[in-house]
Amino acid sequence: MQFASARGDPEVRVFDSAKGRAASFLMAAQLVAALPAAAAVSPQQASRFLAQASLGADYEEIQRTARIGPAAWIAEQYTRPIGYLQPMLDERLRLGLEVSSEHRRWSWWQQVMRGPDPLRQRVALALSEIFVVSDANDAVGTNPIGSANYYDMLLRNAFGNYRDLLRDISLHPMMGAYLSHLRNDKSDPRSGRYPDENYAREVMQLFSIGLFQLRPDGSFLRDGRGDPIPTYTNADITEMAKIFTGLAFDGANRDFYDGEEMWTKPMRMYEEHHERGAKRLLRGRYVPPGQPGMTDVNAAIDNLFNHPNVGPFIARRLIQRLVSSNPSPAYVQRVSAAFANDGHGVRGSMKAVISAVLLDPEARAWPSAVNTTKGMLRESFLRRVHFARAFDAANDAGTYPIADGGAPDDFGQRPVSSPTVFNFFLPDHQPTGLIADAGLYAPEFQIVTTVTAITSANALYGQVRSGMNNDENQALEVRLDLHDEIAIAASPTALLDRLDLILMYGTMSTQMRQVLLRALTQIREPERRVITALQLIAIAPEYAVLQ
Amino acid sequence: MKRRRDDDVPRMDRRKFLGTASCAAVGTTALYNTVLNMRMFNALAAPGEDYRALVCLFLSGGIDSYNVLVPSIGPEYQEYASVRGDLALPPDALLPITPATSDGREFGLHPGLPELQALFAQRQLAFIANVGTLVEPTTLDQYRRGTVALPLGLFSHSDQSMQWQSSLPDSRQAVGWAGRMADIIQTGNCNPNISMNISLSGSNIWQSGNVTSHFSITENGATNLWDYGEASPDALVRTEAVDSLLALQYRHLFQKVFAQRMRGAIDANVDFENAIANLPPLMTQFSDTALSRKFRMIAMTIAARQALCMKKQTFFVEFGGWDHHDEVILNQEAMLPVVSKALSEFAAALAELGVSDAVTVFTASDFGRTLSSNGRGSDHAWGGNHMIMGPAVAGGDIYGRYPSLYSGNPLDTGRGRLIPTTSVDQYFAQLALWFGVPQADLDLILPNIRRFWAPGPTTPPLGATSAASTVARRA
Repeated sequence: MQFASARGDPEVRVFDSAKGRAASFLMAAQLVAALPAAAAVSPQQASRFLAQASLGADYEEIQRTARIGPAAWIAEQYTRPIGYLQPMLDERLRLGLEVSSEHRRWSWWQQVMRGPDPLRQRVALALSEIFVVSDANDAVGTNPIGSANYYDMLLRNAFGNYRDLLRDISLHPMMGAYLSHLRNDKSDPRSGRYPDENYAREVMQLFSIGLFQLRPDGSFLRDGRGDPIPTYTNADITEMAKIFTGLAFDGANRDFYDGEEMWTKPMRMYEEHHERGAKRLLRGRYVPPGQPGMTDVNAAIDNLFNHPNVGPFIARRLIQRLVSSNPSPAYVQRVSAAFANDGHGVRGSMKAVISAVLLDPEARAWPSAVNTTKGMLRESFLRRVHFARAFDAANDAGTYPIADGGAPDDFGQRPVSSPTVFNFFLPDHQPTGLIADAGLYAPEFQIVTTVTAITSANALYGQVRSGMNNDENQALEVRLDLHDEIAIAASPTALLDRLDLILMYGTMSTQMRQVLLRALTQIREPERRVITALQLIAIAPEYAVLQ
Repeated sequence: MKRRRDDDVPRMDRRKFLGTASCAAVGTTALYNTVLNMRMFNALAAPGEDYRALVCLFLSGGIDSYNVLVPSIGPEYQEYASVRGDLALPPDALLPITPATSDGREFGLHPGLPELQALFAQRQLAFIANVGTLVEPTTLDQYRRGTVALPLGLFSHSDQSMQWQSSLPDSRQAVGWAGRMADIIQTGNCNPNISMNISLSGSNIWQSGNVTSHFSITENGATNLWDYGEASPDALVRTEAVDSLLALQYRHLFQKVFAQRMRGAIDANVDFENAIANLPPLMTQFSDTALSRKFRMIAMTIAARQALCMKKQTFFVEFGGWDHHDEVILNQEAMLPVVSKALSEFAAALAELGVSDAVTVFTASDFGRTLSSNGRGSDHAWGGNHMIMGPAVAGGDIYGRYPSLYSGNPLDTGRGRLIPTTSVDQYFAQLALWFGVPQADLDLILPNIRRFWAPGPTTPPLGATSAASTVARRA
């Protein structure tokens, strides 16, 4: 991609037209300031952008991105092929090799480290923490091909439309097993049995509209007494539960209860097990009695998709995953405007939303020296991924046999292993003390405990020193490539400059630098000097917070 | 199947909290109190209150516990042998026990449990029959007609192991009842760095509160920051650098809080290490198994309670691998002796420390298993038998209602998946009351308890001892 043409790329125009009407002039002006002439930015700005838009970047990618600028980088990402997880597992099956959740993790690492699509991988991981399924669940844990297929569905839809995403999630048998609408039968008046309400509740609360009615800027609408207004009642859940009846495996034998398990095909509608009769949707809509079950499902997906809450709801969640725990209302509003209309009259464009999240002036504004609240704590496990990607971790075979068996204990986190559907941490988590007292949210602090504070630092310490998978075969051990750093380690200052740029986008404070310099000058051997520097940065509060 | 859920995203309502942490460095083990909770706090944390510790032994995977406590003779044995088929233990192999109260049936223990047989005879150990997760009292008829709310994800490991720790079978909340206790009484322990909930097995739901979390140790003790606080030249350099980094003045709130948490975590582990290091050695010998080594470390931690400044503690220890869809006989022969030895060694260590009256151990598991065999194995089921060792109940007896085991009995939902006759709420209420939770406040810890037990002056949650009480019998 030539950077001179980047701003004229149609993919980039999606963003330009995505801004809110009232804010358009101001925003355009700020954009020009943020993206000067040829859209080039400083290496520091590029590094910070890549810390938000990818799972980590090495020195070369930072320099390249500085030349083309964030908007062109994103546009380029939208054209990249997709790094799917399932093919590697299919290949293992074909070779007669074992396939378990561990191998799904290998495949995840392979694509995260070597895949063609860093932005898509970043966004899909964020989506996996919103549209949660977890291998802590029996069905998910024992069907790695199915959970890889679910993750691939997130990857595929990451740059698609949110409506398709919501439909594909709702019909995926992994989600069906996880939230129990797989084989959810219609009601039986004689026995008093009712449809399972599990998915009906979560699809509203966690995947689309949330508990309370929102303004486009994400703030609560309030009633006359000043209380938030619920988006739905328990009766609405009961009605929505009727919609999600009749879905089961799409096996060849077409059996609702005992069908062949097909984890990689969307669930099929079994009309005789689908609730008949009219059903009430939200906001005064109904589906008529007697229509095909899948028509009901689509009507319900449309009903949720068109709810005014979805834009601000998804906007806040994606901003929290990628940029900031406490976005301003104006930032949320700009992203939710992009959700409502991508500039071509399309609602729900994920590209428009992602561009709006990452290119917003609030995301791109350089953290000021007096900033005390903006940004986010880096996700615990993502520090591990960041170090791996920043220093091109690899083994001799070009494979990533990383089991991450200890990660849930060490980091309190591992992709697709959340303890519950509520993810590893809640969007509204407020750590008691200074942060709660300031009225701020800081979700990622929920998994930083007296234990994981130590164990995650130790895990990073070990990762930097000896590798990522403790493989008996040393040729398969995935190690960080520190050659370029060791080459300049004779000068602690030069070394710290480079590490500061790669890991902390050049924001290391003078005081922190002095502490590190004092330590590094006492260590003569170049490799040990580099490793010590990385181990100290890994534990440093300034690194932990992505401003 | 009708299911009910009462939870929404758990939210902390800050207006509920009066006090804020004076020792905020504890990380998520921050301190909090409410007026509502002050009574319980006072009851549990009052100065001079006796030390108490509660140990959860989680047998994860779902133990086949109808081969742990077995009807040993007569028609009851015949029913057992008939329903279990190739999984039945021979009657002469069972270790006989004599419950203090009896309805005439006789019971024996799995042959791998001689130490537990002895503890039972010494009235230090009791059994609870057919306990499991229930949303509300449930009959087979209600179950079949779908007119009763059932635990979410019945028969699934993830949901059932969660509910055995949360005691909230009608919701999916990763908050446990020991965590809820710690949320309220953490401040009663005067060491601000170390949680009253200590885990030998890492993260777990039982000890996770809304604001408190567990403190994790291994069979060797604390988890220290690597290359920190040691004497080697490299460690000295690193220690000084880490201490300096955490002592810098940070303007950004998140950096400041992260530095506090890291500092608090390091100090907690150093405190723990020091407290353990200064103990006289334990005389009691422990077996060379991971489980025994973990129980040894629990005993050491209890021994260090004054140095650690702990009045109330819980311990979580997990022993996994009970999901015996295959070879249940062979596997239990190997695994049950490990449990038997570890518990008896722990009992001996508590006696050595003079704290036998202050420590209760209880077992938990994902679920019971089918009575019928799948061919050398059994599958996920529901109610099962469990053990309490220690003063929370009078030992040497069987609590709850040991069911009839014949196929198609009035609790049998199919294949010998038995509807529990005692809810986990009742089981845990018995333990929580012993631990010191006031009766009037029990539902703060166990929100569903009133569906199963009305607090009152006479009958404890597990009822009178039981084998004498009504039993599901063949008509």
